[in-house]
Amino acid sequence: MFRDLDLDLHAGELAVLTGPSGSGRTSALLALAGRFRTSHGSLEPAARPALGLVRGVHEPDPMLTVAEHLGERLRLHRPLGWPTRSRRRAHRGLVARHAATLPVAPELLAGELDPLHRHLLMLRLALLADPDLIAIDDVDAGLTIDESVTLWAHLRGLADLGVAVLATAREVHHDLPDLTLELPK
Amino acid sequence: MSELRRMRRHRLTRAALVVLTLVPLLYGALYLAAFWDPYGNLKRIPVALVLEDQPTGDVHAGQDLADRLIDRQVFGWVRTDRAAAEAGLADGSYDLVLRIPADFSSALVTPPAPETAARAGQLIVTSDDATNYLSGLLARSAFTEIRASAAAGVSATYFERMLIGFGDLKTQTGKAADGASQLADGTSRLRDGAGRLGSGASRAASGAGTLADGLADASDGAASLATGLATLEAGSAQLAEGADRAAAGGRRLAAMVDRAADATEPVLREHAGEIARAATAIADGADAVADHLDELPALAEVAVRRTGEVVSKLDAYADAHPDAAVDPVFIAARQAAADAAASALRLRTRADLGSLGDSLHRVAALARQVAEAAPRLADDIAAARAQVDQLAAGLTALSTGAHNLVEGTHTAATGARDLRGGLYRLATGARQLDGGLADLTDGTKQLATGLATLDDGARSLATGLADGAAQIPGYDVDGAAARAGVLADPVALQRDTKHAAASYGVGFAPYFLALALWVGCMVTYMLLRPLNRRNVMSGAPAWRVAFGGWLPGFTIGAAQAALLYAVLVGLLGLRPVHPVATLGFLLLTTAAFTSILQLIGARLGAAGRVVALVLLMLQLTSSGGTYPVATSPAFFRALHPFMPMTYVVDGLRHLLVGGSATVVWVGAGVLAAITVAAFALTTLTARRQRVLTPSALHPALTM
Repeated sequence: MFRDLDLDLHAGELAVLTGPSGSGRTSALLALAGRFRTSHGSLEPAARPALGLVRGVHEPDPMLTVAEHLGERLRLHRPLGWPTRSRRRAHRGLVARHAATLPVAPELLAGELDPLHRHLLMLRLALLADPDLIAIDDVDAGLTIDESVTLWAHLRGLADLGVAVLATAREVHHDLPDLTLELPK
Repeated sequence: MSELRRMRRHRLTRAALVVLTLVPLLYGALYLAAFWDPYGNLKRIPVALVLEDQPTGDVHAGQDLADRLIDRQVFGWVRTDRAAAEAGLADGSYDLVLRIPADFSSALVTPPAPETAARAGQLIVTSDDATNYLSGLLARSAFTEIRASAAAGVSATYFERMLIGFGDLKTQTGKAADGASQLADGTSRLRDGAGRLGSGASRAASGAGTLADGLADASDGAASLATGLATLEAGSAQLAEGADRAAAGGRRLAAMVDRAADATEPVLREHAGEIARAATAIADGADAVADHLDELPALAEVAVRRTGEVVSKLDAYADAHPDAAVDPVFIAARQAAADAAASALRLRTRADLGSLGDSLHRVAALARQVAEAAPRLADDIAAARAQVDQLAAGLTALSTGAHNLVEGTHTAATGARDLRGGLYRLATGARQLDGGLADLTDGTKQLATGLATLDDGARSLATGLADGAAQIPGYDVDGAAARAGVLADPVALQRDTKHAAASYGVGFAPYFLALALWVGCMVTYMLLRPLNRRNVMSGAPAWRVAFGGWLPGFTIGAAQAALLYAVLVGLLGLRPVHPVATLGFLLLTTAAFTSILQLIGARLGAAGRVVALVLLMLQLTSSGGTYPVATSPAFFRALHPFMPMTYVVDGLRHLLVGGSATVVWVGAGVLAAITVAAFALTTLTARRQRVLTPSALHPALTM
């Protein structure tokens, strides 16, 4: 899938993997996030890796709304308990607070979101795990230039919060990433 | 065909094609293999054999039957005691219990007494629908086997009688009661008849006594008649002799008179004394005869009357007793009496006694005249000569008459003797008849008494039998159907099903409930993802992710189970003994099945669906839901304890029809353990699946 990859990533850094189709960008991304089996080499994995949008691995369910995605992820990170009225109210409050950080209506179905908002939703979900690494795939796929800029800025902001951010892209035209690694075909 | 070509592209999809072709084989062949010959494998069904029979004398039928059953090996007989058998039946160690009761042999030797229980001597086959429903049906086979074993023995007829004779006993007792009441009717009629016979016999006896007395009188009369006639005979013989001599004398006299007529008076003077003496003798004889002759008509009259009486009495007797009329003795007596009567009649007619007497008197008178005239004869020869000639002619006639008299008297005397003998024999016979009739009267009295006793006995027999028939269960109108069932299925007499399932449906409900829940969970995880990859990748705790995949499946499964249960109870009329516990157990089953199918789906993905189908088949064939698993081939028997459905079926059986709670608790424990274990494995799977593999990232097969 991929070979000869050497990357040293720290908290607060934004790294980008680039390469042509079939160069194993997604596999490498997942491997570096500790989410893909490697046959050779060593990895010092992140303690709490999280994934942003990775097509086929970590993507929103088109039949669920934004709020439902948030609610589901919030429940996963919370201890089990009977859904008492107070718990449900607290839960709804949390969902609303996280939904407010997104530029889309919470009742919108994920299938109706454009690629940028899908990325933003998945990043929001990743953040709920309180990660030390966020891996995101195909940052520039299907985005307009404006949207791409917005998303890169968002990633930079995440890194600035003290999270290591690892992204893949077809190409990078700006200096936002701290390091860029091109995978051979 | 491009669809199939697409499938050949990859190793996994080629395997999928192969599996696809194998699925019908799994369903068809596996199921048939499991239930190929349940009845041929009965010998693996553990059946407790409890021998309590106490041998009676040299009859040890229980032991014989037990030995034969064990020899034949149709069931897996296990000799044990009653308590162990009951416990084993309750916990499922034994599918059936055959108990040979303590009074088995004695019941065969002695017919059951009325006061003993009617089931005495029966074998008792106990099954428990909570253990296996079809085991109850196998009890029928068991019965067949017991019958076959019993038939193999010398006392086959005993077992025949004992096992199915109960219904027959009922019928026979009814028949016997009918017969006894008929007997009672008959005996009462017979008693009436005997009473009439007794009175008739006593009348006959008194009549016979009268007859015997009359006959004795007649016999006496006949005897005196015979004596008189004998005297008469002797007298008439003397008379005849005298008459002969008189005639001869008369002729000599006449000759002498003739000669005297020629001779002179001196001759007459010389013979006058002689003439006078002879004439006097003649007169005396004739008088004597005449005296006797006076008695004769009276005697003859008496004889006629008596013999007539005898004859008429005998005839009357013969009319009264036709059977006596053919008795040879009686006939001889009757004949003799008739002969005697005829003789008496003839005697009466024959003795022309009047004329004879007259002539005798005339002779006597003449003789006396002669005797008187004798001294004067010489003086009157001419007159004398004519008189003498007349005398001689009279004497000759007298002689002829006397001979006739002798002949008649002789016949009469012979007849009287015969009469006397016949009457004597008749009197003896009548006395014997009298004695016999007295005996007969006594006998008929005894007979009547005996018949009264018999009648009472028959009446109490009829009453007792009717009571007994009534006491034998199943003769009342309500029990008629039951009795028909009993006759049609004799094992029902002995078959004692604990926790009986109401119907076939109830018996198989556990099996189909388990099947339905499994299929339901299987379909649920065809629609739901066992593990959501987004959640797996979220970094959330793996158990939490696994639970997130399990809970929706369980929710649907619980809805399926509740709906199914509601339909079974509401529409099909399933009446569980423990309804709430049953629902709880169904939910626990759903939990277990959900977690198993989630695990299979999570671990194997698309291939898991085939595995779920295969597991379903294996469980259906090895859970013992239909036939006891003991009847299936070894492969299924080996799988049996490791199949969740085994515990589902067992637990549900005990909840639906009652029975051992232990089995339910064991089942619940196993299912809970399966749920937890499968969930733990699913959690592990969720943790492992956070690290993707190339095949997981680009799956070749999706279903």
